[in-house]
Amino acid sequence: MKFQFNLLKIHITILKSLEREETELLESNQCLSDETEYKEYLTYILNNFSLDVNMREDLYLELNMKIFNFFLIDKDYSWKINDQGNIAEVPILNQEFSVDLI
Amino acid sequence: MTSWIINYVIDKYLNHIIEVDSNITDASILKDGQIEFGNVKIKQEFLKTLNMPFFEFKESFIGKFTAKIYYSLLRLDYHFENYPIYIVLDEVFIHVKQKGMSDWSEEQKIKEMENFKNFTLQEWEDAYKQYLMNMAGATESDFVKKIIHNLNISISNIVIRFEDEISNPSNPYSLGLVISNIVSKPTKENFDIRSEEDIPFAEINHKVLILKGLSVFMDIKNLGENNLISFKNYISKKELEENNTKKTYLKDSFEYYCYCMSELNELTKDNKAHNYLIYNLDLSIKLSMNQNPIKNYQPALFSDVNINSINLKINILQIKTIIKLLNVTKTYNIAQAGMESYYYTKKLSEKEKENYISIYTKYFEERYFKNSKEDVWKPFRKSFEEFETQIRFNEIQAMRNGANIKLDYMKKINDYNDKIGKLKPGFFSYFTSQKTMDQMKALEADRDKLINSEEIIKKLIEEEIHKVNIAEKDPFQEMDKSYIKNDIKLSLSKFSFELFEESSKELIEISLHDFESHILQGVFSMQTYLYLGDFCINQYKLQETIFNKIIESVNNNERDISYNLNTEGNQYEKYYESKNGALAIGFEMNPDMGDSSYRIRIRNTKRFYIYANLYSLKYIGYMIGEAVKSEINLEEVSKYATDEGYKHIQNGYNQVNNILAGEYQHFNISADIMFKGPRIIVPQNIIDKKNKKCLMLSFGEFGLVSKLAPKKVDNLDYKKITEDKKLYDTYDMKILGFELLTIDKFKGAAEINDTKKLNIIDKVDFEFIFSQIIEPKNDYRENFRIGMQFKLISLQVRDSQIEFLMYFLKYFNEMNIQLEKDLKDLAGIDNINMVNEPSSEKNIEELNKIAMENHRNSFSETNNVENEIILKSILIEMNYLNQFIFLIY
Repeated sequence: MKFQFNLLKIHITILKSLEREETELLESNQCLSDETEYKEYLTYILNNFSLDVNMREDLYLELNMKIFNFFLIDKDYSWKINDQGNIAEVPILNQEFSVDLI
Repeated sequence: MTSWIINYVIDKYLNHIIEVDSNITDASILKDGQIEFGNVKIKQEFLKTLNMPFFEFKESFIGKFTAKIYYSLLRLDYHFENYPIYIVLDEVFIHVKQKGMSDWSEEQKIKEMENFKNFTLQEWEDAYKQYLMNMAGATESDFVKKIIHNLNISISNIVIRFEDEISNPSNPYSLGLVISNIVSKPTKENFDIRSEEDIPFAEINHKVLILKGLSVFMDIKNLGENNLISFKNYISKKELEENNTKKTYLKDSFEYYCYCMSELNELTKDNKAHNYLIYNLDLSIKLSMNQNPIKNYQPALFSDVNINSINLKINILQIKTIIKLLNVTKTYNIAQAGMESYYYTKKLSEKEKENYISIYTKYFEERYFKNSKEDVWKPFRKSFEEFETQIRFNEIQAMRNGANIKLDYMKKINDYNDKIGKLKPGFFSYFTSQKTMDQMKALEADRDKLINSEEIIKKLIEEEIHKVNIAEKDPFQEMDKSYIKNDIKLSLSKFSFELFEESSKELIEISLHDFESHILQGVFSMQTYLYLGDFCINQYKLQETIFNKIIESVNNNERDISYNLNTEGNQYEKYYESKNGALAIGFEMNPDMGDSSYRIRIRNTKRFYIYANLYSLKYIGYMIGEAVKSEINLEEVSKYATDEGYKHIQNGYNQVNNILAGEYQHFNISADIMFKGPRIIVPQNIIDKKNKKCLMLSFGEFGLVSKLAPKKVDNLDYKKITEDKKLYDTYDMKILGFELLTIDKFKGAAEINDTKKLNIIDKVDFEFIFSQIIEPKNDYRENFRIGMQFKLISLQVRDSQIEFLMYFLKYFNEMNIQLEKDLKDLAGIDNINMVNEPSSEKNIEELNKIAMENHRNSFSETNNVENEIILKSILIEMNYLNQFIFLIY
């Protein structure tokens, strides 16, 4: 028996709803839409996972597994007005793990 | 001059059937040999000769009989084929009762059954023989011709009433059939039903049967209520007075006659007069005959059934009675039903009757539901079992010789395989000694010897089969295999089934619109087509104040995401597909079809929407449960299920052994399936109707396409074949566009394209390929190949959607706690008292209320719950999740 399993891509995103101040800010600038209603928080991407199993009656067994690559992306941000006066995504850094911005 | 002819006809043909009273019976003879007489009773002696096994005729009356028979009838060599016969009947009233078997015995019962079968068989046989004798050189198609040509019948005003007090003594019931008109007449093509002109014999090739105003009712006496059971209640005073002249003639039957008249005149106009199962049904059947079917290569007989609408209404009590009756008819073959009627017809006192009923019910429980310790009915049961084994004896005897040889052979191979399996080295093969390896090899050699000796066994089996073949010569052997004999078509524009409970006025309505089925039946082949335009299930409650949809089919005009299909349907399948309905299925069976003998094709353009409304789910469960509760023992069912499970496992082992023994026969079916999956809609708050938030599970499209290898050829060496296409049957299954999403404002299934949706799982495409080898002796190839592929799994979770999940978990948790409490309470009560407990429906309603109250306490009704609270509650709710998973198990 030959068994083949392929998974070309997994894309998992956890989304966060807007804070009250942010909605006010976006609304006043007419930027609130279906796309900006929620903001991305965490993303996990896995590319090309595959598993091959080859079994024969004489108990010969062959097993191949392959993971191409995967990513975990942390993208915690809030909508704020930047120095140029435009609305922009400003990253939030947790104090415990924060790195000074260069 | 006329009277002697009538006398002659009555004396010659009808004397033993009808009873004639010269004062009342009108008889006259008109032009064209039309004979007419009215007001006749059918003789009891004649009815007795019909030999009905379980029923007897109490009354039978014919108001008017007209026959247009040509004078040649008086000649002895009269043939229907040359001179069609016209018969008109009016006012046919029949009263049937369940036969009481006061002097019943088991032997007589069996004899009666046999006699009835023999009698009917003999009758058919005689009719056919007689016909063949008259028509020298006649063939099968001529017999069909006779059906089409011989009779013009028109019957109006039929009332048939059946009463049964015996088979279900606690709830006696009556069944009634009222038909206002039946017409059956032969016509030519492009006929007009209303025209009454005579059609020349040579032009006749169609037969039409029209049925108008058919109603069926079932009245049951409920012990609690004073429901009507006697027909006396229906006789109106008007009928009694009008028909007083017939009183002396009809004597005992007079009451029944008046009852039927009032039934026809008044009560059929009112659909609440009885508990009607079917009310005012119209039906037309068109039979067309092909004069020379084999030459024209077309079916010999076309039948086209047309029904405008059927409205089937049934209540819980009726279902219960029917289920009981089915059990009774089952036991009619056994001794007990006769036993029961024996007790009943002995005219017992009230106390004795009660005692009898309790014994009777006890018996039923023991026979069907429990393995009783004290077997009161042992002698009866034993004799029945003997009877049953006698019937099966010949069958078993015939199979035994062939099967025994095969069984022995399989057993031996199994034994070898078991022994070898124990000795076989596992992963730690280094530790197996040389001795065991030798032992194993020796066993393997022995087994191979046995497998190689299969030719001898095969010959033995073939001989057995050959014996059977000689005995049953195939009459259709010389016929073309793809030749189609019959073409049957049924079309129904509306069918509705209403199930209701009288006390609470709850109602479930299942309705099909535009249903069509078409069967082309041949000698070796069969084609079946099913088409369903629209389908819905609705629920009404409390006299139609509350209305719920459970299932509906809607066409959203969505863009198809389907892939291109290689295979194409035939003309029927294409026709049904073009009608854009909820379901179109085509199934074909033909040995000469190409790569497979079977082919299936499924298409739909409308999508089913299923509403997981708690009320509706609970209601269906309750209705089915109530109807079945008293008749089905779940313990027995589960025991049966495990037995069946073991059988399947055994079959699996046998199949593996078959492959090893080289007796493997692969099964393949040519499939071309493409349908839109259902959408399941779960409201957020199951109880609160104003909450328009919902969760939707959408199963995009499902497709299954087969790529089959060419049919197996015996003289081909499959070991040398290298092409996969010639060696493997491949099935390619695709599930496209699976979605899980939430909707804030659900506006209904018809407007789903315009509503704003938030996807959690988006457009999952899944592909599954399964390949099966057609010849397993090819050592270098695998027997099975399985491939699975997910193209993209995209998951997006928003914090507001977690709230959704919380609601469910909370709800199920509350339900779970309450149910556990109830179960603990119930544990103390005996099972026997369960029947008298208030129905489970109320309990669930209370549960709903409790769950809802708890809901409101734990959650504020506002939708914007702050993020922090949600994240905290996730941890708490994980416990609930565990419990929920436990609940599912």
